[in-house]
This record gives sequence, C-alpha cells and structure tokens, in this order.
Amino acid sequence: MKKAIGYFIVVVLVAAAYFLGKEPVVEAYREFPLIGARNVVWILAQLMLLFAAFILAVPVFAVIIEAIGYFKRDERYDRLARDFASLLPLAYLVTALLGALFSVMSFSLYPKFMGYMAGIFRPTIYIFFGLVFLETVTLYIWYYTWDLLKKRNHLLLGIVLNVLGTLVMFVGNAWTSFKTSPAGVEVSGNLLSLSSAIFNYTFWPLNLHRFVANVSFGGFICAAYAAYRFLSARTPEEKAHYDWMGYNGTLIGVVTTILLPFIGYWFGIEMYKFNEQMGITFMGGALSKIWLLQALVIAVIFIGTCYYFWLRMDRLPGAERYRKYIPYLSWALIIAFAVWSAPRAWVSSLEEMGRGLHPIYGKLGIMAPKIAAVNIAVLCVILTFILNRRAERQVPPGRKIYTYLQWSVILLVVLLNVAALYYSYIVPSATRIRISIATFLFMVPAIGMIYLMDGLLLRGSERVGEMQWGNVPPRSQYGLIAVAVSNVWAMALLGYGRAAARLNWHVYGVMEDTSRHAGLPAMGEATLIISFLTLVFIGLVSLIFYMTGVTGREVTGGER
Amino acid sequence: MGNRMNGEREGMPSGILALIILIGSYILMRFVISPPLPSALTNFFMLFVIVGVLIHITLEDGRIEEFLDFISFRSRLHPIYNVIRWTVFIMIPFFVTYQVYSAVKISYAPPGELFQPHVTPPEWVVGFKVPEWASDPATWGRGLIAEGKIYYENHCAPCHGKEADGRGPEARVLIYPIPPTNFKDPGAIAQLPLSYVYWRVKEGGVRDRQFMSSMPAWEEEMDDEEIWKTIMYMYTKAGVKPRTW
Repeated sequence: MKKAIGYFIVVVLVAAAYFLGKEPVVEAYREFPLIGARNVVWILAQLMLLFAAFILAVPVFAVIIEAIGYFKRDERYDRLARDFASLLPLAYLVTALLGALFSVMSFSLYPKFMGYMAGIFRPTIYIFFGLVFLETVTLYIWYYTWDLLKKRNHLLLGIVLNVLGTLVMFVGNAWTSFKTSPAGVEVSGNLLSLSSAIFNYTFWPLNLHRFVANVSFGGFICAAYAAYRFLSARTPEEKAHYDWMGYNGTLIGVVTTILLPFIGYWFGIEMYKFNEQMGITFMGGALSKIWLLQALVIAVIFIGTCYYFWLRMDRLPGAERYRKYIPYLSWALIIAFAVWSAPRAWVSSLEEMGRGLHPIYGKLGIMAPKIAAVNIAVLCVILTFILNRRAERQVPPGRKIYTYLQWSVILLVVLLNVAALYYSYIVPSATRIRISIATFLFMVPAIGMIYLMDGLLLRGSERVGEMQWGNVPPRSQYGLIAVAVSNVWAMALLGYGRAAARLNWHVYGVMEDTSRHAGLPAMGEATLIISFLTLVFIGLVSLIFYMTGVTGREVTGGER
Repeated sequence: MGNRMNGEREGMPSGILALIILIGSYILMRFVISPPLPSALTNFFMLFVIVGVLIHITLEDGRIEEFLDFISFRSRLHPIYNVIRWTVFIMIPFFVTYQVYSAVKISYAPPGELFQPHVTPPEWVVGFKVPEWASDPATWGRGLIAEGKIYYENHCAPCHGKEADGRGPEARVLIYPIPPTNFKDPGAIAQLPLSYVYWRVKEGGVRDRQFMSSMPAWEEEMDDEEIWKTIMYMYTKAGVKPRTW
C-alpha cells in the first residue's frame, strides 16, 4: 500500500513536471523562497544522484557476490547478496521520488534552460523513461524470485538488471556531459547532430568514472551498513556475519577506488582537450581548492580503510610477525596525503608570503608531486592488503626469493616516483605530463608483479590459525562509517566541481546563465551545502537501513 | 596488557612520543621553515599530524591503554618523563590563553591575501585561436624571436628580469601578494597555453581583481604582433614550452 502511494506521488510529480515544462515560457527563471532556485535544484539533483549511484551499485556487486556464492557453493555469499539487495526496493522508491521532485523543480525554476535541453535530447528522454520502467520491473522480479528461479536463471536476470541500470546511467550522463562539453550544436545552440551531442568529449570518461565510482560507493555504504549492524549485533554469529560483510564491502570499495584517480585524470585530459581554459579553471584556477578538499576526503577513505585492515591484524592469529610494519605504512600514507593536499598558494600575510610562491608548499602544489604521492599512497594500500593476506598464512620454507623480488618491485616503484618527481621540475610541461602518465601506468604491472610474487610465495601454504570473524575491535567499524561518510562528501564535492567548471554557463559556451545565481558560490558556502546534503543522504539511507533492518532481522532470525 | 598504577614502563611512553611529534611539527612549520607556513595552513597540516598520532596510538589495544594511563596520570613514569607530562599539563591553559589573546589582539598588519596563480580567463579567451604563425613553437623564426627580445627587454625585463627569472630591478619592491613571475618556473608559463599568456600580457593583472597583481596591460603600448613576438622570446629565454594540449 505504502509503495502504491509512493508510485502515485511519483506519477503525479512527473506529470506536473511535464505540464510545467509545456507551459508557455514567459520568463527564463523563477525564484524559490529562502534558499534560492539554484540551491534547491542543486540539493535535489545531488541527492537524487547519490541514490541513483546507490541503486546502480548495489545490484552490480549483489550479482557478483551471488555468483561467487553459486560457484563456490557457499551459502554465506548468497545471504550477503540478498542482504545487500534487500536495501534496493525502498531505495528505488526514494530515488524515483527525488528524481520526480528534481524534474518538477528544474522545469519550474529554469523553464527556458530545461526547455532547451528537452528540445535537444527529446528522443533520449523517451528512451530514458522506457529504460527506467524496464529496470524497475526487472528489479522487482529479480528481488522477489530469489528462491523461486533456478540460481543460474536468477544470475542471468541480475545481469540483465545491471545492463539496464548502466544504460539508464549512460543516458543521464549524455545530458550532463553535454552541459560540460557540448558538441553537435551550432554556436547559437541549434542542434546539428544528436549523436555528436551524446558522444561529446566527456561522455565516455564520465560513464566510466561514474560506473566505477558507483561500485566503490555502494561497497563502502554497504560496509557502513554492516558496521552499524555489527555494532548493534547481540550474538557472536551475527557479529561474525556482519564483520565478514563489512570486510567484503570494504574490499570491493577500496579496490575500485584505487582505479578512480586513473580514470579521473583521463576525465581531466578530455576536459583540457575540449577546452584548455576550462581545464585550467578546473584544475589550477578558481576551482583548484576543490582538489585540496578532495585530497582530504580521499585521505579519510584510504587511511580509514587501511586503519580497518590494520586493526584486523591486531586480532588476527599469526599477524604478530607483520605488526611492526604498520606504523611505517600509516605515516607514509599520512605524508603522501599531506603532499597531495598541499596547495600551490594560500592566504598569507606579508611575512608568510616571502617572495611569491612559498619555497615548500609552492613546489608541492603542482601536479607532479601529487601524482607521486597518489602512487605511493596506492602502494601503501596494496602493501596493507598483502600483509593482511600473509598474516594468516605460514610461508613455506625456501621461498625467500619471492619476498626479495617483491621488495625489489616496491623499491623500484618508490625510486621511479622519486626520479620522475625530480625530473618533473626541470623538463617542459608536455614531457612532465608524459612522465606522470608513465609512472601511473607503471603502477599497473608493478601491482601485478607484487601480487604474482605473493601468489607464488603463498602457493599451497597453510593457515596459521582459523580466521575469527567477528573478533575485531569496535573502533574499526567506526572507521568504516567514516569512510562511507567521506565517500558521500567526496561525490557531492566533485559533482559540484564538475558543474562549477561551467562557470556562468548552463551549457558551456552555448547557453549562458543570466539568472542572479549565475556566479559561483564561495567555497565556504558550497561546502556547507555539500555537508548539508551529505547529512540528509546519510539520514535517508539510515532510515532505509532501519526499515529494511527490521524486516531483515526477521528473515535472518527465521534462517537460524 | 597495560600495567596500571604499578611498575615503571620500559622505554619512551607513547604519550611523550606523541607530544614530541605534535609540538615538533608545529615548531617546524611555524618557526623553522622560512618563510613560515601561514597559520591556517599550519592548522590544516596539523590535522594530518594529529590523525597520524591518533592512528598510531589506537593501532593496538595495549597502546591505547598505556596512553590513557599516561594522560590520566595513572602510570608511573621515569622522573624526566613525569616532569614533561606535568609541564605540558600546566602549559595547556597558558596555550589556550595565548590563542585567545592572539585572536582578539588588534593587529596593524595588512590582511592576508590569496594569490591565485591561474585564474579563470574571461569569455573571449575561451576558444581564442592563436594566429597560425605564432601557434607552433617549432616554427618560431629567429628573426621574430630577436625582435621579441627588444620588446621584452624594454617592457618586461624591468620586473621579470633579463634572464626571465622574475628578478628584474623592480622586482625588489613588488613582492606582495605576488612578485613578478619567474618564467623558468615549471609551474608558470610552462603550464599555460599560449592564448592564456597572450591574455595576461594584453590585459595585465591590474584590471582583473582575481589576480591582485600589478602587471600592467600592454595592449595600448604594443600591437598584437609585437605581443606575440614578445611571448616567443619569453618562452625561448626561459627555456620552456607552452602547454600544447
């Protein structure tokens, strides 16, 4: 009944949006009381996107986990996948509500701009709604046939669901990326080619970036959910299950997060290719402080995740041997992130400024040291994984060579980054960028080699002791919650950054924003809104957790 | 794990180590490095140090207990460590007092300024096409560059220096918030596309409030061709190339 009412509201809102959009346009902008038109659209858009990311991400790894469970014939995975999936029906409803509200507000507050966008992308709007409908239907069938269908068929349905979800995202991304890097239109804005408008410069980077980021976001949110359930669990079995769930969610989250800086730089390069000035504004100009804040939240994500893994080692049988390395890893990460978030220039007094750029942070504030820092940070995360894996195993004798090789690769990564950094200060920018990309790319085989050596080292090795799920310090779980909150904040921040790169344009260089909200807000104001919507999102998601948690407990109680 | 109330600990207590790291980092940033890091930036980096220390302490159950014993005066320490502990404990109110004092103290110093190295260009620069003869550094002829040298030395060198290193004779007085750019710096013109540099020379910094620089606008002194020749010499002299993508 509740769902029926929910969908009725969605239909009414969408219809309202349609008719408001149809209304003869007399004015380009309308105002919204108290917080202003821009802020209300911003908040609704970002909240909707966060939920959309969530409902796209959860099915991706629910299906992956379900498949692992099927092939490993391990019931626990199936239960985990189902636990993740149980969050979806309600989350879909909230997304649809927010989406409808966002459409109504956009069409009513920015009628001219929305009218223009609808005019350019009209055919894709029909496709979008068709796909959303199909996706929703598939989700409900997938969710409610968990035990009815044969596992293989159920997995297939899950894949179909994911394909549909990804297509929905692609259509939305076409609209968004068009606003940043329009193509296929005349200078006056008239449409020349719809396919060029869709496949614009930033379309594919945005698709890939959002897809991967969504998966890591979903992983972290589910880990936070598991952390919450772990902290409120009463029995050791429940603790063990949610500890294991948190571990898997975090693993998915962090592995995909490691890919994001690489895809992010591709996005940046495409932006430069589209328009150099926009690239400068985004990376080094008016919006450069965004990247410092981003470094800070990514620091929380990386360090928080590692903290969780390090704390696991405090209780892991056999981990005593490796605990002595942890402080070095933690300080290396801290220093790497301090370099990553070093600004090129800062508000300074006469004495502090000296002669222009500061000799220390002025030099650390450019791209090259940050890339070295990212690489070192990624290396530290990988080493944390390796130590965690090795802690529970007995290394067979006579395999020291693999450890030496592993150390050599690690040393090589560090030396290469230091050397690249040194040269970056003397060579021209084009060469520097090539060096940076090369160090980035070198990370891939390096990580591969480290894992290969690890595989050879631990081949056929025995476990030191039985893994004791549920036996982790509660503070590690707060680490996971902090990671999830930072992740939401980071997404909202970068969403703002990407939109802000358009400056006073609705569609960059094509349709100017002439409303009173055209200029960028001050960074402080922007971060307040970002924090506000992070809180609202976390609140809403907690509500979903609470509501599904109640029903979920009955299910798990029944199983036991 | 922790030996509360009894038995002296071996080695340096983690509380003392934490204090050394925290106070040492602050002193390093504010008093050792010259010029000192701005206070807001010091606080920003102190956040990293504090997090690092907290992580270090909470990595092991035993260490947390030991640290809590330290700050609650439950553990017995070597007399030197004990004196340090008491000194820091007594200093805390003085430190807070000093912070409040410096916050409310009337200062006659000019307010802090933010220097923005690469500001957002105006709309005409967006999509500006560099004239073909000037667009590719590989085709810049010697004659053009030699001509550019004359303009550079007449107009630019007084501030930016004959060597393009930002050390012209005028540079000694133009230091705040930003002295003349050192063109050899890999983060300066080497990072910028030609259209951006052209805009900076043509319209200068005084007209643009984002820059807060005293760079004059040269469009009334030089025509476009002369500006381009100057830019060619500037890059050649500095030994850097413009961003090309």
